[in-house]
Amino acid sequence: MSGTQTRRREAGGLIDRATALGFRFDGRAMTGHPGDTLASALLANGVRLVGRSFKYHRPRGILSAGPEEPNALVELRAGARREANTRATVAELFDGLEARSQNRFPSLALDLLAAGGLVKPFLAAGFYYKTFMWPKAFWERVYEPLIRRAAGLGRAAREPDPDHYEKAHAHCDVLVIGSGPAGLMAALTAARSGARVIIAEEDFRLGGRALSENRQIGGQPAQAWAASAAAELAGMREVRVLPRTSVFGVYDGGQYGAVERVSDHLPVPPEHQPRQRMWRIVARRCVLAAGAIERPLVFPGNDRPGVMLAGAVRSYVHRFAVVPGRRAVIFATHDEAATTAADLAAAGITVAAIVDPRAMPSAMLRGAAGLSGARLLSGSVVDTVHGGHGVEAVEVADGRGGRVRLDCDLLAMSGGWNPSVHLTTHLGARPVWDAALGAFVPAASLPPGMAVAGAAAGAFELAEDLAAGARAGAFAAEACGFAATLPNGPETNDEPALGPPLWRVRGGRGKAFVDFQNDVGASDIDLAAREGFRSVEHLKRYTTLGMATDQGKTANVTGLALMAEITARSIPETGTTTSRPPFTPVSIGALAGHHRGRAFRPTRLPPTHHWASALDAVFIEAGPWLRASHYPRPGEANWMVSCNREVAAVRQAAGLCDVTTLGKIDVQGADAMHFLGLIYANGVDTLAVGRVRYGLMLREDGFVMDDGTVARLGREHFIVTTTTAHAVDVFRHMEHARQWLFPALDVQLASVTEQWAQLAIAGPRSRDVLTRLVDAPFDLSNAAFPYMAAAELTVCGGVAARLFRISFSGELAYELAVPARYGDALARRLMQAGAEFGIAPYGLEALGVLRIEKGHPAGAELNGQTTAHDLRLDRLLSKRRDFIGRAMAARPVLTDPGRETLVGLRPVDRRSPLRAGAHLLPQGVAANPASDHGHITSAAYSPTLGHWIGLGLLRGGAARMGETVRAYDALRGHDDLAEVVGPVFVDPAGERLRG
Amino acid sequence: MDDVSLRARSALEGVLRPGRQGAASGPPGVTVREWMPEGVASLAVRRGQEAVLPAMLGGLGLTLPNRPGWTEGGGLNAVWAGPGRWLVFGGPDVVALLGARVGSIAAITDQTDARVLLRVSGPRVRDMLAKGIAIDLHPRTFGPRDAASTTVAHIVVHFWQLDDAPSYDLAAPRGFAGSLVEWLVAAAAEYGLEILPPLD
Repeated sequence: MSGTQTRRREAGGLIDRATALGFRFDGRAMTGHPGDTLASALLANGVRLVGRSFKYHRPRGILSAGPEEPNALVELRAGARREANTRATVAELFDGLEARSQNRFPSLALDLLAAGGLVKPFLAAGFYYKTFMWPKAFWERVYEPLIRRAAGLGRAAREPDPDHYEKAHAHCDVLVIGSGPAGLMAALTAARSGARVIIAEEDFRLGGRALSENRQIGGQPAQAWAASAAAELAGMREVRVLPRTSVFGVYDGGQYGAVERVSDHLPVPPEHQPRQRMWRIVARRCVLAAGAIERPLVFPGNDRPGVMLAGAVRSYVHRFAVVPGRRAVIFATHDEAATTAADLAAAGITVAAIVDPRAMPSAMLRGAAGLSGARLLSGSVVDTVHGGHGVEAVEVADGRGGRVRLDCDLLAMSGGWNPSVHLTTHLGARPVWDAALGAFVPAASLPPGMAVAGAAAGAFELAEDLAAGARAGAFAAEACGFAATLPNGPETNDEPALGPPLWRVRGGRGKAFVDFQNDVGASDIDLAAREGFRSVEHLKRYTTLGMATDQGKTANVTGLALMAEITARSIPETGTTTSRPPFTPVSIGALAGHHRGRAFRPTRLPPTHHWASALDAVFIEAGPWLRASHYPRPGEANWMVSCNREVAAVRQAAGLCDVTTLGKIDVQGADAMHFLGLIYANGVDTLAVGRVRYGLMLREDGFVMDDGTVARLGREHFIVTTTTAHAVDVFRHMEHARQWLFPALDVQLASVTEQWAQLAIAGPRSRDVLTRLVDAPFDLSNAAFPYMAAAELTVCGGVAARLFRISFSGELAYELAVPARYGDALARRLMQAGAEFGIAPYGLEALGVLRIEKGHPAGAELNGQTTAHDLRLDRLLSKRRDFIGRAMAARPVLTDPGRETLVGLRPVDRRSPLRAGAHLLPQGVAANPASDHGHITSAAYSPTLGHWIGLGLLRGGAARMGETVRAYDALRGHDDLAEVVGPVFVDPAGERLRG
Repeated sequence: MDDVSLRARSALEGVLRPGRQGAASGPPGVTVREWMPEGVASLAVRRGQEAVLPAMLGGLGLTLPNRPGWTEGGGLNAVWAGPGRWLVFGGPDVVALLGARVGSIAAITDQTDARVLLRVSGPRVRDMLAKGIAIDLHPRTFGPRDAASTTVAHIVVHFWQLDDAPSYDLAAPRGFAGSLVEWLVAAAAEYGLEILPPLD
């Protein structure tokens, strides 16, 4: 037996005494054993004071033994793995665990901010709203930072999480949530039928309350029965047992969200193991056997360390072999007080008294009091707790003026049990108040496929739990087509009976808490009722009841009942309490899984990526694609120098750019041409074989969707290109048109974006470069292959290729496509062949400059809010045939000459830059939204012209050529004059591209 | 004289290097290798020609599956890719072969280079795939000859089961090859991953 564990029982419990685990709490070295939680180990070491409360910094201990814990929240681990607000009651002990108390300064025992407790009358509900209203400007700068410093719980780690997390899918016939007696019976019965079963248990050990109650099941101690059931399940082929797994949410289609804490019980995750795994479980049927959460009683001082839930006390005594006190008082509304008394007495703990608010105690209780030597104080309540950092004594009032003071260091309380109905409410059902039971039970309208068994359904008797679990498991398996056999319900011993609830003890001294974690007292609920916040929704928001990280698991029902009492309404009249996912906190890491950092979303690489990397290209994200932004050369000071050089290469020699990212769609069929005539607004249905045309695509609502090219390779064979940004949308749009709008047409679509590596070769020497690659007898001459020609050919000695004479840069230019596997080699070959002509690769920056110089609209102009008229492309709209968007594009509001239309802009002072995003204003007016006439959409330094140029959308722009406007950029502090010009800055006549 | 020929480059060249990844002890739970098919064509039946297609393909010995699955025959494999659509794997002449046979009643498109293909196998491959695939791969619901289209790690993936080992082929857009492999290496790490040299 280890020296520090002064409160450890010498025998019993589900702990491994042969192994000692060292851990630290606030620096103090202690030991525990495998099988302990941090909470049980702290109790075994005699630690009662574990944290300080959120608002008043009141000393707090351990209330529960499960996931509902509102008080014992600690910081676990250190450095990058530090995690705040960990519930000590669920943190599994490991060797080397480091935990720290939270929300205290400078130390847990001497907390200076607990002085807040002295002024607590001023910190009642609504205090912030009432006090910090004025002056308004003080809120953000003064009040909020002050409040945040005083309140708050633990501190998150500041470094990136070093562990990895993952997500996984699981499918089953029957999902069993919870592994108490009902859950184990459900899982066993379903699994024995051959059904695929998943049983998820939040705890690290299967068994639920069977681990904590001194009961007999099937002729053996409950703990042994649970162990044998767990062993049977573990040995079954189609059963997946998920311990340390919280099912936190129920979703449509039989889907359940769960988090498995794979490595939380270890100092660091083993190599190649995730810290946590998020499961998406798809289940045909579900048996919810989530058990119940014990209700604290509301009396002054009920938050003192040493005041614990009676069921938790039994867990610590029986499961963890801990002596949580030397001298106990039991305060309970029902006969489980008898069980508690017997367990405490068996553990050698003196039971000073059993306090029962009922006037007539049952025979069971009288018997238990007699056996344990406890005073039985019936018709009485505890109304005062003495002690600073822990209970030293309690005062009992008998309702007739009599008072008794009882020395004790442990007060075991129970106000009955609340069935864990949370998951039944996630799809909108509201639980129903069962007056006889004094508890909310699941509604009849459960999530599809779900059944509830055991205490979660309000069945608190063990024998009924076991039978109900077996029935639910059999029914679920049969619903999935398996023949299940109902086992005989294992025999159990006598059951304690529950009594009527006692919601509140009146009188006494001190604050009586309802929501421990958010420091909401019964008096706050009184205040809310007085001030008119009587709806449960208002009550919650006004007092913050149930809004802490525990989501009011021990508080909500009691808070609601108190409001009912105050307003003299029934509980159903007052409201219900529902919950949303997640049932317990879920770490962001588990939600992200693999997708963090660079893997946040997948990266798409064009076929020349390897070649570009070897040239030290700088890459930039374009949607999922990673494209070369520019190709810096030694001595180039910044990206702009590289970009200017690349632009010059295209304008004066030849440039090379990977344009694989443009969407490519193969269109075939007898009606392909007619179909494309409907898809595009500019009458592409007159296109000849071997020709390419610019294509303008409208949405149904008449706005521009995308632009691109249409090439006709054969009589019934076309290749369409889209912008990189809209490739997916355009394919979807065309599929929608094909399948739904024009199902009678014979058209087939196939995406070939990734099949072909497509490289643009642009510049006056591009033909000279290409001539070296194309196989004979292909004729590249202007006469044989003019501007807007398309052909299938072979290059480099027989590689199938497609060649298009199209130009985005305004220069003589081609786009050459080869099967993607050859893309990398093609780039290298082009560089080799073009070396003597001064070829240079160019990236997205240069591409942008080239297109702005030519006034081509791109992403910033094709922004979903512009029309063909706005982009001055309305002359392209077909007048002879119908196309998608035609009717809506003709709406007067879309053709109003006053709309913002595309213009070119150049700075009056040619040395000034232009900035995209700057607003365009007339001269001599105040800069405000009313005088806003548009904005600069794209701007670039034009090395060809030697000054900045821009494209913009300007109100009535087409008629304002030559006007000088203000380019006003308040955000970055610029205000310059710009001249409105046509959008095409270089070669407006388009002579170069035809050469 | 320049060497004008172009060298083919896999999207995974230098990315999927043969060797052991993840857990190093024991036999690997998952093996993966790239598979570079000689020829792949998408085949989409022309409107109204659904009934004629099987007969016209019959001469090739291939029966197209009419469910999410795959078939083989005449040296070809056909994977269902949606109503009236298939992906046909064959030799380098597969596009020409299909074009000659059924070009008049179907759209044949070369897709040989459009996808990266990974062949995954091993005792833990289902567990590994469950980390990315939302489809139930339990032998009771998905077996050899079944195929499906889904997403893995936000990447569109078309996959099919080959045998009971079990082995699967995963097909994803070529440009996503690196990200798919990154996911796979992470997902298989705990089981031990053996990367084998590419299959021809």
